[in-house]
Amino acid sequence: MTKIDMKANVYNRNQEMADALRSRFTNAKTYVINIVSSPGSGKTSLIEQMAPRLMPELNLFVIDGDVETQCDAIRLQNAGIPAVQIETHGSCHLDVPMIEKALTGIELANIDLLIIENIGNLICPVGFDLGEHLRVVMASLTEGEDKPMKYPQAYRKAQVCVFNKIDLAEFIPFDMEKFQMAAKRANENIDFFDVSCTKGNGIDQWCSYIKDKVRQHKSIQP
Amino acid sequence: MHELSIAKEILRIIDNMQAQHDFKTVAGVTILAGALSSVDPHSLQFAFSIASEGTCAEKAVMHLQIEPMQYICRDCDNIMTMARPPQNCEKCQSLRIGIKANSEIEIVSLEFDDDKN
Repeated sequence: MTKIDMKANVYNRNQEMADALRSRFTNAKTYVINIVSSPGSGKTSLIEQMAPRLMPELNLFVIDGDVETQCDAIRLQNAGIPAVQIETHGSCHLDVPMIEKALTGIELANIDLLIIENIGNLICPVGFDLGEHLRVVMASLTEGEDKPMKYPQAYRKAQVCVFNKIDLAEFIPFDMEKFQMAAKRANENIDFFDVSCTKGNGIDQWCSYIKDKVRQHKSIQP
Repeated sequence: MHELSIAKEILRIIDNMQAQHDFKTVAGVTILAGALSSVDPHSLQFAFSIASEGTCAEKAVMHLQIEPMQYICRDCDNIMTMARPPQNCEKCQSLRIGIKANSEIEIVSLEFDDDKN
């Protein structure tokens, strides 16, 4: 019997593939965001709210991930937003090969902002870098303030938290201080944007932040 | 569910090792997972047993170790190993507590039979 010490990181290959895809995005001057949340936080609604504010200036493209159905991509297409659907038929997260396949035949140079709407799940998608430039974790008032305590890794791996459904604050008790403290415990540098995707509150500020990011990205020499 | 992806990647790495070391069957594989790796031990063992069928690792025993959860004081860098976040630092009483644990998954070592027949 022989024993060999390896110290091989299981995520290395995924990381290498993600880094290669990120270089491709950067070279094409496409800014990529990956939105991760529980099911029902409002990822699709957020994109629907963002599109009319961004599309006059930016070429937007959306990759929508779900276990089953084309519902979300059709919903976005009906709103005039270019979108493709990835149906994983069981898999709980998107990975780099799925993104590469979804982008087949798409000219990246024509896209300023690519939004990847990940599968609604706060565990599995978190470990899989998709070559994005910005990871967004979305939460909503109806989910309760303990989400960052239960799923700290989702907050640790994100740079920004978009907090949705603030229009329901008068009906549903929610301890915002506790929520933000738990999120900061996981990730001290996380930024918060409070929005309502039904009433439109906070969407303008969020979109200016994204527009700035896209502008900065365009000015970087790859 | 992501355990199946992890199991497949472990098997891919073992396959590469087989090409280098020319062994016939793997007897054991030792895995170390960070406290925030979100690995469910039963799911990973199950996924590995299914995904390894017909490979050199189909009889391999997986030794899986999950690291304990750790917190760090952001003021005095004191590291605390405990399952739940402390209210304040045990040393300096600061309320600025962060999570220290990691999310990596590592193949620590591989055991294989030398018999090449």
